[in-house]
Amino acid sequence: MNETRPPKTIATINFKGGVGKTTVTWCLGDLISTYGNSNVLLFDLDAQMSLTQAITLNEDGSLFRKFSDWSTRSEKKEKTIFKAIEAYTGKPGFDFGVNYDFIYQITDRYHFVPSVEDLYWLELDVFDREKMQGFIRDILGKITWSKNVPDYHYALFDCPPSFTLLSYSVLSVCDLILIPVNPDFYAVKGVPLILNTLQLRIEPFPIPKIAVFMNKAKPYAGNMTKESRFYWSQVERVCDQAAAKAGLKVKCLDTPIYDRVAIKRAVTSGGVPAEFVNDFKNLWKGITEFLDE
Amino acid sequence: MNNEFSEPGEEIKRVAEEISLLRRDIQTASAALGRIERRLKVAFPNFPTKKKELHEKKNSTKLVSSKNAEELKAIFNDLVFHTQNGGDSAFAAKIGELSDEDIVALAMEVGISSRNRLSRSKATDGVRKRVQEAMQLQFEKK
Repeated sequence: MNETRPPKTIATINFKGGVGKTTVTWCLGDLISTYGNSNVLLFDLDAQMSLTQAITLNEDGSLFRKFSDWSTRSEKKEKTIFKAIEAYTGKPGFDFGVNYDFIYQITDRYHFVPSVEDLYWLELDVFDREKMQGFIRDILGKITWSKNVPDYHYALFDCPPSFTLLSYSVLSVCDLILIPVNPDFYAVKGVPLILNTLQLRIEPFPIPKIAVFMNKAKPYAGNMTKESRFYWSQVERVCDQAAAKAGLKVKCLDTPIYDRVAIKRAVTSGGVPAEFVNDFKNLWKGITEFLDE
Repeated sequence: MNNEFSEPGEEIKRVAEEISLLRRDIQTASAALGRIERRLKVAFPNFPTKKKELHEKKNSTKLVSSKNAEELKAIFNDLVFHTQNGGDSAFAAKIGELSDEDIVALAMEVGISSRNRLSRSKATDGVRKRVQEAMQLQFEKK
């Protein structure tokens, strides 16, 4: 008998926009489903729909016919993530079946739950905020036990750059919070911003492990520039303080993703660009080692 | 109705004429400068003419910090600590203890510039900015 296990869950978050959350989340999912032979389920929880649009747009800007048809069917059958939330916070019991009308198949192993515009109004529409905390846990439970979809090894969440009800729900249940930072003050500021308040916000749930890495690092002679290294040293210091003062399990992954032009087309061109594969493999190695500790 | 703006073709023609005039002016000025230089060379045969040589000589006399990256990092952390407790006057006092070359090396170490030809004041401003940033990047348990 096959043993059904819930997927390992990783949430990519930084309250500063533009640090590369979406691209990194997509690339990691593509990497482990393509090179690691894992089944990956990717969630776009950002109402801005950047990931959804990037995945479903061709380079020329037109929607893939396949996704367009799927999306129409999904909405018609009321199988969007917003409808799932409505079902969860509405009537007692969580009457929402999980199948391929809810989950879109990008490839055989890489599956996707897209965002919808309705998420913009989620904060206004959902009245039972406390109940909302358990939504991601319970929808993952449904996915895990569903016979209609495969067992997923990993669930990746692209979170919005703010503390919304959905990010609240993800952070309360995930195994790992992944924080990309950039070599600039505002992006690095996102680290203490999250660490300072996380415990307070998601109590009584335990704090997940937190991994931080440098994204869009400026390269110089095979290493980071001094400016990038300065900001990275500040990140390390803040993480050390968080570990020492609050006992948070924080790890700084010394596997930067360098700033190169090709990464901008990583999602729309359909795969991790060749020159980035090793960087992302190194990052993923650091993530899994930390998850297994 | 008259079009008060010139057509793209006309605009290109006008710009080309202006560039041609500018080129002629530059050639005239360059020729005049060349003539002046030749006259000066005749009048002062021993005068060093190449600015670059002067510059290299100046650089070779410039002192270089003897501090390594670890030492500079320790100085930076010390600056952050003192500024946190004593404000800008403490920063100024600590900076005052450092030589020009150490401040420039410190500015380079924290990524303000990759050139060691920074002035003391510019290097100090850069280090102050980094110290302020470091002070704002703190974990505070809520």
